[in-house]
Amino acid sequence: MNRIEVALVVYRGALRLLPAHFREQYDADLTTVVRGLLVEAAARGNARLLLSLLREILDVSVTALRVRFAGAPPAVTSGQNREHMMGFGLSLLQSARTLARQPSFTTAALLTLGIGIGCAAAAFGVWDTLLVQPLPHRAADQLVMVWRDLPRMELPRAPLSAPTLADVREQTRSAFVGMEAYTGGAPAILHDGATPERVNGSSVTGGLFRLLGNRPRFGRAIEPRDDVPGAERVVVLSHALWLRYFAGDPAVLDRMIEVREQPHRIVGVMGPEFVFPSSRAELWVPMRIEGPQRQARDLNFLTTIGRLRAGVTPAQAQAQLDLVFQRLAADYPESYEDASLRLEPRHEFVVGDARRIVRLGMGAAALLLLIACANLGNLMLVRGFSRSRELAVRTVLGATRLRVAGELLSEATLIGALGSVFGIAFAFAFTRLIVLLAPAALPRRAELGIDARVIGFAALVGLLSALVCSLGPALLAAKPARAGLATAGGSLSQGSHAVQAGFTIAQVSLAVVLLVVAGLLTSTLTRLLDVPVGFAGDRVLTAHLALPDTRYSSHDATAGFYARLFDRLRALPGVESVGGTYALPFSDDYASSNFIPAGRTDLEPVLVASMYVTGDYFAATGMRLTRGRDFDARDRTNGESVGIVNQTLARRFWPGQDPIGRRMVDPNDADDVLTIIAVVNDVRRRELAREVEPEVYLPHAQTTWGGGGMYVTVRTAGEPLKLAGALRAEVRALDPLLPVSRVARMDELVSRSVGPQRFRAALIAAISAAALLLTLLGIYSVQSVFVATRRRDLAVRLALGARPTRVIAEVVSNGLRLTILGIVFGAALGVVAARSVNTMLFGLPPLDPSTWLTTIGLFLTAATLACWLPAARVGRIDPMTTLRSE
Amino acid sequence: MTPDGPLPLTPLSLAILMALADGELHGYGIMKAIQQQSDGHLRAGAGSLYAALDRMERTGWIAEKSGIDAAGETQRRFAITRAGRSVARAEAVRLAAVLRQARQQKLLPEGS
Repeated sequence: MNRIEVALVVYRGALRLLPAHFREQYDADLTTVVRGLLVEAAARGNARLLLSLLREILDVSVTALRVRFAGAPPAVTSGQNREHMMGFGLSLLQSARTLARQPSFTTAALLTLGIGIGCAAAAFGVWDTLLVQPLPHRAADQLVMVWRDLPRMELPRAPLSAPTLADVREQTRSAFVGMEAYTGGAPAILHDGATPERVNGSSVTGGLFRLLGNRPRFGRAIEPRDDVPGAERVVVLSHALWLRYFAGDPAVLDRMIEVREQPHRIVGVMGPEFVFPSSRAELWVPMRIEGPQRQARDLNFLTTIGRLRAGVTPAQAQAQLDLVFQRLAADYPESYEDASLRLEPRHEFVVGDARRIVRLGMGAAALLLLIACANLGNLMLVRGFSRSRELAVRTVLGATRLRVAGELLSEATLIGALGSVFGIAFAFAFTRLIVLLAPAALPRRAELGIDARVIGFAALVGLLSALVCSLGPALLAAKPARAGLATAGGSLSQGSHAVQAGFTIAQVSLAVVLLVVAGLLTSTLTRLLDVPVGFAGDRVLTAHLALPDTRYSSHDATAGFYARLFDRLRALPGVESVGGTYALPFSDDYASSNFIPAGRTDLEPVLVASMYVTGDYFAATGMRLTRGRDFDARDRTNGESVGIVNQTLARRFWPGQDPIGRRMVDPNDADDVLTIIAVVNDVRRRELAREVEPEVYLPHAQTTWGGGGMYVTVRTAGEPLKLAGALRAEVRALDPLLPVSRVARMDELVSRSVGPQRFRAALIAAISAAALLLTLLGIYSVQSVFVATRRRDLAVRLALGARPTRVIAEVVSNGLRLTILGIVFGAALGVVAARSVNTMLFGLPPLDPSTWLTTIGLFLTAATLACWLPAARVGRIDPMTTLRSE
Repeated sequence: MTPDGPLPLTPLSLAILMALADGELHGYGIMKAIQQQSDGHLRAGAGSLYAALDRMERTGWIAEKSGIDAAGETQRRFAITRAGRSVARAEAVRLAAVLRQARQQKLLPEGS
């Protein structure tokens, strides 16, 4: 987005002030005209652009008042019509003029308030959408997840098997209206002319759509008749997929697409609001539970969702689940040991993990709003000071205090209203930024936006903040007015000084809290990224291929394909080595199974992650064999089963011994024996913050599996992504129907894995930066007033021979006193705040000295500058001129 | 509407009518024309302009024509109506009278 577009987003926010009928009719035209004006202004510099934008927003605000209060724009008809306007409206217009005459004050006040409100409103909107609004299903508060809870394996959300679901559904009918299930992994392959694309889907039981209560946009949803054996294969598309792939063609019904290598007929398209189970799923097919899957009680693969009967509480439903599960466990003890059934509201399941980041954002936004309010208060005080002579003159000439107060009130209202407009515009921009920057894991992203509730919130907060912050100081400034004209040119009352100091201290301390938290989160991110991952991903190109079973039914066919592909890839210029794996670090889940060292039946089995690798996988990814040999031609299907273990597993199973030649076995399957031929260095696989888990790598040549997915890893001499096109071309040359997906540089996978931490750090850092800016502005303005009010004293001292540097130093120290007091308070509050984000930190304690010292040091430096700039003006005071003018 | 009912016109309304006297314009064009006519002295914000256009259209002084601009976006174009022309003329006549009066009172040199 260029700066014009950003400005237009802000302007469009302001357009919301206009009455709906007017806006609907003209908003496109207004935007076009303003775009023209902005383009013109932008050619003359950014300051011009900003000025034009502000002018147009002010104009829209005034127009909105006119259109609303008068029902017609008085600009067209003659002057006397203004008399008919309501008194307050007139007073507002008067205030608008006053504010327009003081553009620098008005701009500062509105920007301050706008940033504060915008941030708070965006945070409110995210909180409201994610945590308060029901999910986009019918009576969504009745939807619950039903999990198998396996505390011993730390799996609180394990799926159910088909017989379990059938039994539980049958026996809990008094508590649940229905119970349905879904699974991920219904990939479809779409052909758009030349390039095949892989799309994620979800398979669902026939009653799921009915249970959720979502209707299709057109056509029909999946129905109970679709999941019976032998039914026709049908598919329902998401709105996004329909638009993207079928260009929104309504004639898409009855067309055939290939899902899981089978042709499916398109029967419906869902609306844009339907996101289920996550935004990754772009189509839905009926689940076909056939043959052994239907009977296997231990084959757990169904994610289960139920709808509570009206009036049944989750606790009652949970009690019934417990009862049913006890019966099942008695009938099939071996299938249900160490487990229980656990009910969880669907809403909690979807948004629960996001709660912390939302709270963090809300807290930071609230602090920023307070800082903005303190700043506004300060600005009003300063302005009151500069207007005190005018007010004094008017009071002496007979204007009542009430009249003056009324004017101040109307100004505060206007500032609040305009500040809210700015705030709404900023909220738009902030929300868009959040949607753009948020990690894919943030749920309900598609629903985020500015709605009536957010606008109402912004308006309310804007008016309240403006009234509270501006009225008090304004009245305070007006107070000494009656005291006399003689002194009115000069000083603020003692009370005003105290209030200003209070504002500054409060601002500084809140800003310090935010900065410290931002510092901690940023350090966390750098420390995470400093964790050695165990591979060198910056020159590795990775891509995922999924060979369809229909065309690659045997292991030989699969292995043959990869051998040919790898040969072609190796022949490409700039390719150093090529390998492949079933499970890349920081990618999909991987298989795990239990192992013990051979002959040690006395030991508890250890869950070991196992992945098949092929080609020169270790060389391609930059992993190192610390002992032993790589897989080679000796490792065939008919040979001895071999494996390469990571250092963690080697230490765990054979501490202090050489693992080469030793064996490990699956305690449940004595035939599953692996001979260790090498040890490879540890690699982070899931999260950077997690300990490395025991792993074993197996040669692809010894698997009997047919297809399945494979990540290709290509080590390149130069930038890996430059080879992406060549990789696609080689795949296409071998199999034009095979999609190449998830093309990435391997280190991007690591970087993506810290998405949540990065988002957190960026969010708080951005808010803190705004807080810092506002606080510095506050300090600067306090210092300016300090210098201005003491101009005479300072001039006298200079005339008596005081050195300017000494006087400047005194003024600076006045500001720094307030700042340091604020820092002390802020540090105390910061300790509490830092402790509360403790769980988000990695590799450093909440009171990490270096982070704290750096943050406070930076703040102090910036604050000193803000104290010094106004003080430097003392040096330019000419004592004689100043004193004569008094 | 009596001929002098809406008079005097506000500067903005008169400027809009005069801008449209030469032919249809869209909002941006009107804005530029107003600036040009007044040597940059009169300047309306987009909001005020459209509020005025809305009002004048409802009074029947101007009419709206939608069209497609060079960039392919639909944008309203406005044209002056017969009523608009006559009200502008009436205002011009009124202003001319004001000028005459000013000259008689030696507020304005002859011929300027």
